[in-house]
Amino acid sequence: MKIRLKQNHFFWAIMFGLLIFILGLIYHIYQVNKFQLAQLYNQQQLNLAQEMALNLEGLFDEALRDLKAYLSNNPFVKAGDLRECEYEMGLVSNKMKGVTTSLMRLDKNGVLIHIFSEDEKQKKLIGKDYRRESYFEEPKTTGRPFISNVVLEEGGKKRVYISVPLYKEAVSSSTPSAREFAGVFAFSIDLNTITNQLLSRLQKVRNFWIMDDEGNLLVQPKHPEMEFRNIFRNQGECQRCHGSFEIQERMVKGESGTGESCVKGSQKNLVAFAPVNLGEKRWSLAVVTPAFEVTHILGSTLILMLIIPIWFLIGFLYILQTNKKKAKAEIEHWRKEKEMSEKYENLFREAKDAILVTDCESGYILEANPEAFKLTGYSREELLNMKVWKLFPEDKIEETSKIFSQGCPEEKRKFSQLSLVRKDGAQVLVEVSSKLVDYEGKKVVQTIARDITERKKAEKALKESEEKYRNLVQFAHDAICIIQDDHIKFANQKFLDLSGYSWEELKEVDFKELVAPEHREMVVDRYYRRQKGEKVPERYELTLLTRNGERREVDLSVSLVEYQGKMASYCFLRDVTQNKKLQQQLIQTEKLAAVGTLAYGIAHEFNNILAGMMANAELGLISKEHEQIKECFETIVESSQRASSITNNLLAFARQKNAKKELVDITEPLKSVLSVTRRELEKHNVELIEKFKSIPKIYCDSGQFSEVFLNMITNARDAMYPKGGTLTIQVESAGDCIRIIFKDTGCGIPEEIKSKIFEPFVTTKGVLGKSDIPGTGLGLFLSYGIIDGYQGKIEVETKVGRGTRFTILIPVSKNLPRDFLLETRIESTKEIEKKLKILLVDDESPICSSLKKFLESKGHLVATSLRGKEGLELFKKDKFDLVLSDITMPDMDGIELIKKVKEKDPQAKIIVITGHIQKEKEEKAREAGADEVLIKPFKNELLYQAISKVAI
Amino acid sequence: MNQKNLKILVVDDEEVVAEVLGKLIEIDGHNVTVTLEGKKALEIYQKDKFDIVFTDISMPGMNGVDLTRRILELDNNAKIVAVTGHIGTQEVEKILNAGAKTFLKKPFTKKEIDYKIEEVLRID
Repeated sequence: MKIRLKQNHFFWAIMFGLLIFILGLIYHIYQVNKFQLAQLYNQQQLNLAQEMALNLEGLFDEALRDLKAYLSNNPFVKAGDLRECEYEMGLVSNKMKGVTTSLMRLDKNGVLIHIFSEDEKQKKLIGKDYRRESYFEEPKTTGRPFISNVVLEEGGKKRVYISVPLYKEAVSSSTPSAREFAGVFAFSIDLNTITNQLLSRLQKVRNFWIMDDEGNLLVQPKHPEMEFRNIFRNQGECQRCHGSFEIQERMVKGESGTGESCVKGSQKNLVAFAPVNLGEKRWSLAVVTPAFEVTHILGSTLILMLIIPIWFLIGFLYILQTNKKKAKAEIEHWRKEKEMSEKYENLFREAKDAILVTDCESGYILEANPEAFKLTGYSREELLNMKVWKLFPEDKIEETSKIFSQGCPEEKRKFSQLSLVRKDGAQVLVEVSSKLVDYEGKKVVQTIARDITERKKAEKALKESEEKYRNLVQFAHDAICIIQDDHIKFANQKFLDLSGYSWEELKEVDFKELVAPEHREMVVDRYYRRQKGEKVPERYELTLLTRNGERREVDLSVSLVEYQGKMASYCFLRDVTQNKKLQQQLIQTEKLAAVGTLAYGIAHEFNNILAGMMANAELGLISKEHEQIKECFETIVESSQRASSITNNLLAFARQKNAKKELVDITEPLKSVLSVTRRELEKHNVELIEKFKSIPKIYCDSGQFSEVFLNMITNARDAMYPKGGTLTIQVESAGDCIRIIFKDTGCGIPEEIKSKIFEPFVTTKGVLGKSDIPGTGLGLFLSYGIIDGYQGKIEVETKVGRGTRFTILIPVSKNLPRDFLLETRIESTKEIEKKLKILLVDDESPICSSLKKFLESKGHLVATSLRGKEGLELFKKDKFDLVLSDITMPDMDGIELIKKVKEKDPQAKIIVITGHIQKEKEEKAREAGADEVLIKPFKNELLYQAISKVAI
Repeated sequence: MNQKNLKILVVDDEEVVAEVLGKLIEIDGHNVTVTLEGKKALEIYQKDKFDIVFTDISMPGMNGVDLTRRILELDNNAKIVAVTGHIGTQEVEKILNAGAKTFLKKPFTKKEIDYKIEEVLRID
């Protein structure tokens, strides 16, 4: 390729030389032509100049001839005969018209005696003395006609005077030839007019000029400012433009010829000149044309001559360029090929896999890369002189020969794992892939071998680690499962044990069915929100339903993981049923402890009441006045009622197992607690401020709230001991929440335990708090647990010495009944064997008919009524085993109906079915005599259960 | 030793208890003044001297212990009987330490009242 590039340079040099030669040739031809053309042109111009010179001569000759002729005809013009003279002069003037400007008659003294001019003003010149003028003196002295030099007159007029002497016959007449000088007859020729006439004969570009034999420039139309200057005498000025004055010198000599004049700063001029002989004087006339004007014709020819070779050149260059591109592409291709082959060679050399090329038939190794030397431990020389099977164990020769001989596939690579024997005898496990290819007409096997010892090790390690992990999961103490698409995709043995399902059953079950109904909504909500990437608690407690329907309390912790390419919930569950039981017991203990502290106060309260009762009873016994006795008994009854109300309120604390959730206004348990503790607070000088606003009911266990409130109140009381203070209890709605605030003016909570007050056994009271005020350190811990169970919060603000403010927030929406009656667990219903006669009263006929149908299907007799009064009538006429009644009915409501039924038959069994969920209504119904109250809607099974309970 | 026309002050924040206690004492012909507040009791005692004072221990405002101290400040020989509903001994100990002569446990009988009156009078 380098030679090609050199050739290219050489070629370019030749081309450039040729181009220069052609251009030079063209220039030469142009120059020769230009010279010849200038010569030719100048010759023509010379003719013109000669012709013009002749014209000019002719003009003067004719004028002189005319004048001479006139004078010869009238040799003696009388000086005084002006009229005649006028006439003659008019003739001459007419003939010379256009050239002559005026005719003058001067007397012998040179005084103008007559003038003939078109210009009337000149008449004023008559009488003027012209004796000093050359055109008067010369003819007078020589007696010959005279042509004057050019005279510049006013107004820039250039004139040449021609004058002839006049004579008259001498009076004496002594000699015949004696003549007396009588004056001069002269006329002037306007040189401008002549110049214009001459100029009109020239082409625009041409110019001419006239000089006299002394070198004075007479006419120069293009440069009037130079007129009347002597070329030779003013050389300094003239040399500014003219390089030489050769032509001017020849002209002064009276020669005729051609030449070129060089004017500085502009083009050359072609000049032709010829002499003009005017009597004794001699002028010279030159015609001038700028050389450029002549040669520019040649210019266009030159351009034409240039264009053709340039076109050739461009065409040639274009072809050349195309060829060059082709050549470049070829180079690029060649270079790439080279790079590729280098790359492949690099690839071969630097590959991390060993590469062997072996002869298909003989098995000789033809080529091997450095990695192959490394793998086998042989040098290149050794490898290239050995057969490939030598690299493998002898007992595997059959297998090896399959890979490296004709058996090798031509299209797809064949992979196999082999042990390779190194030079040092060590064996390494290699993965070999081979392919049969044509290599310069020879069939060879290309083999890539990779040491997979490490990989195998890693695989083994991975397998072991997986095994470990599997064991870890399988035998973990916690139950573990992976949930994806609502189904359990994996579960360990512990999980199967916990749930009671076999794996086959479990994988078909929707995981939601495993969650107890009361937790299902929360769990499912968190599950979906977690999937969306929202932040939800990772750890919480819930109740699991086992296959047998058992309830197991579990502590669940969930995290999102990728499982089989999709997001899944990874769940750890710990059975905390036992813990929960312990916790329950702990709560019970605390409750007892709380009641214990209360008991002290309550005992005091009871003793007071009993004191009043006993004393009054005694007084009544002693007294003889009837009025006083009555008064005593009244007081005793009142006191008994007070005692009863205390015991009733104490019931709130006594509840424990299977506490039922109900719709409760939690102000009620608060009031109960206050009724029990009010006196106690008074005694401790605690002023109680109650600010209770109406709040929505929530679905809860009021006993739990009693416990919380009692804790809050006793804590406040103790905080203000012994000085007392103010306890402000505030109940209100705050957005979706119920807010209950307990604000005391007590000692506050010390900073060091402030952050731990909700932990168990953290207290300032009792043995733990080294105080004589009793306390277990469990109150706030349990209160926190209870409030947390309602997804609520307890906040605390405290300042040592100033007081403490506990704020309890319970979200209402999260604690509303949601078909809670439907979810009530139905104990297995016993079939009622006895056929019952049932009276059903409900103003809503669909309910009436559907219940009737259901009860009849169970084999009972059912009478229905849509009105309360009507129902009562039916009851009065007939005997019924059971009455089912609605509460709200148009004519007679359920409460009244129950009362009337009970009046008729106190033993009557009554079940109320109502849509009201207010506690008061339910209580009223129970007061009136209802044995059971069911709130609509309810499951038929639930009704049946109630019936079996009531009626049997 | 059954003295009549003693001047006796009864203090208890429990109205029922205070009234009935007063009445049971009055039966024997004693002159009884009943009040529901410790502070008022002290005011009454400042104006008038009493032979015996029956006072409750736990009362809002001025409790029985304080009242006992204050009365004894006024009258070193004042005979004070503490009346208590408490089941523990803490409060009783406190008031006895403060200077009460004896205590009457709620609920009480007429006999017990009489016995306590006799008991304090016997101290003289």
